[in-house]
Amino acid sequence: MSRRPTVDLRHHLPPAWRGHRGVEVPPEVVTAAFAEALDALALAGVGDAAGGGGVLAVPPGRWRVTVSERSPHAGILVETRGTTIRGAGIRATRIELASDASAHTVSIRAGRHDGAPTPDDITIERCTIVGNRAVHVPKAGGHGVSVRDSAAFVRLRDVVVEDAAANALGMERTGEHRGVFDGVSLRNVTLLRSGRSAIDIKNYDVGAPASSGGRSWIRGLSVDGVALAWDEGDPQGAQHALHLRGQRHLQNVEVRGRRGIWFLNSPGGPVNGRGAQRSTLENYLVEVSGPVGISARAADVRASDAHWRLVTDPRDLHDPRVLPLAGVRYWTWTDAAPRRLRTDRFTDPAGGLPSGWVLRRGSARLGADGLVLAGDPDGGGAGAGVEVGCADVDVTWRLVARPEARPVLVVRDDGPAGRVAVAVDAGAGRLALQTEGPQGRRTLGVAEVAWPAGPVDVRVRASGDHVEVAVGDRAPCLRCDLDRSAPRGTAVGLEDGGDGAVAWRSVQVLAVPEPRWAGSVRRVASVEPPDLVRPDRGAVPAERFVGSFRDLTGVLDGPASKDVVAFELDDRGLTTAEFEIHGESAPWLAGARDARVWMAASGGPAVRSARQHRDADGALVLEGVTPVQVVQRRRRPGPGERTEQARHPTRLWIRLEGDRAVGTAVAAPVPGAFCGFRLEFVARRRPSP
Amino acid sequence: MEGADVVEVAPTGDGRDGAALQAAVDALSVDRLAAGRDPGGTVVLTTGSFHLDRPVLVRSHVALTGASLVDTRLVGTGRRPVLRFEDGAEGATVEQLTVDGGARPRAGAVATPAVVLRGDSAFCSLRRLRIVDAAGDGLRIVAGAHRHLALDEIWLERCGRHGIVLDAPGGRSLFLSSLAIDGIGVDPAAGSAVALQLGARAQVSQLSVELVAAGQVGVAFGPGSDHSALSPWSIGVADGGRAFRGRSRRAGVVVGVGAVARVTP
Repeated sequence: MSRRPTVDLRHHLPPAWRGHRGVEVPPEVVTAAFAEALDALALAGVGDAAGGGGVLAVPPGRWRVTVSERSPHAGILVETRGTTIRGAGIRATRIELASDASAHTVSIRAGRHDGAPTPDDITIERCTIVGNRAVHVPKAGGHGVSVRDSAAFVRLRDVVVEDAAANALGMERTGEHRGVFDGVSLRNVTLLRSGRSAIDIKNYDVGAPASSGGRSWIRGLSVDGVALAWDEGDPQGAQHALHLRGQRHLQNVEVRGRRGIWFLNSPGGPVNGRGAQRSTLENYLVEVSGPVGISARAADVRASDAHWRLVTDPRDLHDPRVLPLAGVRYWTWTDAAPRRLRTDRFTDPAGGLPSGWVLRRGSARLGADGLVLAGDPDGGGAGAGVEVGCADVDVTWRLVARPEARPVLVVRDDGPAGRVAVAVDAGAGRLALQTEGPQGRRTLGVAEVAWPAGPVDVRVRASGDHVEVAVGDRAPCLRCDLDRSAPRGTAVGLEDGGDGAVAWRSVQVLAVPEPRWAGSVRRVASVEPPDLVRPDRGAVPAERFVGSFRDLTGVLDGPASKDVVAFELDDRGLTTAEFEIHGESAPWLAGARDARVWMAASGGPAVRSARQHRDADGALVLEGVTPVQVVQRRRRPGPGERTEQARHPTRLWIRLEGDRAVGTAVAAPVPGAFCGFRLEFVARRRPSP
Repeated sequence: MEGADVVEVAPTGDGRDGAALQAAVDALSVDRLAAGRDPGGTVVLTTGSFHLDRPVLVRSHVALTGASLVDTRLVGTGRRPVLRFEDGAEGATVEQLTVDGGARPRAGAVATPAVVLRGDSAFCSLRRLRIVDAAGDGLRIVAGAHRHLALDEIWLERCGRHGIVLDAPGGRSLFLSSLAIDGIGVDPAAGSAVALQLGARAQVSQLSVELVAAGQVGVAFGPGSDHSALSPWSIGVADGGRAFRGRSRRAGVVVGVGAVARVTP
């Protein structure tokens, strides 16, 4: 049995540098040594059937590389099949990109550059790959590890990739050729602090069925910190931690970052590809914080163009699971700590209803230690869901009840009280509160409701030991006591009758274990700032709030030096919100010396306000504008569907006046659009507690 | 495996291999640090049995690699651990060998674990490891918020007490896969032994436990194990044994695809 050639990086350093520690050797020298060592491995196999390859042993220490003479895009360029880069230990050997280089730290290119898959069998193991995201100016650059062409059998084992300017691991095709990455194996890989995604695997297979793309086996993957470039105005916005196309099988995965896992199955553009529908995900935990104050709905809504998903507020979100594509199996999921949650719209799979109205499909359930909203509007059955814990529940359903409507909403208490149902009987003009326990169904009370022909809001609040129901903006008409004395296992839930007799939309579920924000944001007199007049439509009307101020919620967050107010506008008829933030509840405001505005909107980029000035009174005024990009889908007979894009401006205007801030936010009045805003106040001084 | 960062060690045959093994580890670690060099490298253990009169302290950035799972054997005395990771170890690895705790059932024996990982370790891994005849627990990972820990292909046989104890509240990214635990609570004084005791959030895949006897537990979810996931799994349980304990008391614990095989001895 022949041994694989092994070369030591030190042997390819100039003699004058061989006795030095890695960190002492100039990056240009290290880069040249890597190139020479890899050349030696390539030449070692010349004449053999194997055709080159072997092990490049990289000693312990910090080895800095810069842009290689072989490629303007890479520090280390690996092109010979059968090559292994082996460090002396996962944290002992660090291969770092020099601070002034704009390139991939390591770039793997397949043996053929025409997109034909080749058995390259290239391995990186037992080392740490470091990008220069933290120090590189300007903020742009490459991946930690880049794989191009259609390289096959690429393996990362016992590897950490950290501080990559773009993706920690990026796999994409070259030019217009195929880009299929098959046999990718990741074992015990940790990806830390990426500028964009932790892993972005594209899969472009020209003319081939989507499922024929590359396969990967990923086990023992830890991701911590993604989309950090978003803070620096990354034009690509906040990227998903794992951005997967092709058939990817993941097991034992933990992800922490601003966004979670995305299995992409849409046809996509010519670059990105598709084919994630046979992927699997098992044993995982996803914790997503989201860009602070920017709604995930705003940031993620683009994903809803590709497949159904629930998108929730990232500030409070513990596990934002992306609903699966058909065929993507979620074996396991976790409950979560109590959090607030708002649901997104369900889409209408069947059509036939007025725009914006949908038939209820699937079910929703709120658990005492986990809120589950399960729905699969495309498949019609219950699927995976989002689980967010709750103590109190506040649900508003805007619905149109048909005369034949039957129980549509069940507030379920898995304790002794059994199931509590809110039954809508639109034909008889009644609303009933019923229990369904071991003794059968029992009606607790009936309210006569002059059921309108059009939409009406039905609000169900379950708080503490009771549940109450209100119709429209009137006082609660029904109330029922719940036995909440039971230990864990008591659950308050929602599910519909499943008969599809009620069309509904705009469900908002608030599961609020405790006030997250004292509520010093309030609406003030409607004064339309003149600069909020849209040139194409005239002044934007100040819409009424639907419901209460939960539509305009805020959180105080952030490190000691600054505070943040964040809120969002959605499509529930709320397109303009005037607000006032009082110093009495927000004492930090009086000391604010600066403020910044961040905005994100459906499909559009997350941007930071560019305009800031002081008015004649010396008050700080900030203005921000970002477009909402709305993809409007239209069905037509035959395969595929046509999409159209529209852009609408989203604006925010805020004026700081001593201990208060007055502002107006205007969201594009487009159904389905979400706009998130973050106001970041930089304190001059921190008030005493 | 070749290179300047590889040290090869062979058994001496005098029953006192601990010092030589420790010297090899230290040569790649503390000795290098003392000389102003970067630590790291691999200690390659040749085939044969290394009889250890003292525990080997596995230091940061050092990998201990055997020739194969069956050909390299570290044999302890039964009174002290065979392998102990230094507190707060970073990037240390043990792979491809058998750890023999050296315990033989006897009354009053000290319940010493065979392998111990303590402190706030990070990026450590144990892979393709066979642990047999531990006087106490087979593998104890305790006393710290361990991070980025990978256990893969671990066989445990005849553990005096528990199989694997993972007690690391606050730990994160703890991945356990391909675990085979055969025989726990061998010590008559062991009490209620547990094959896999989780006191931290962990993602566990491919677990096989044989056989959970009366009074014993297959997998125990203790404090700190919220949001752990286990799938797939297989647990053989005899009459009076329990496959799981504490699962319902922990939030978000998920037990996925698996089966309990009821076995009557």
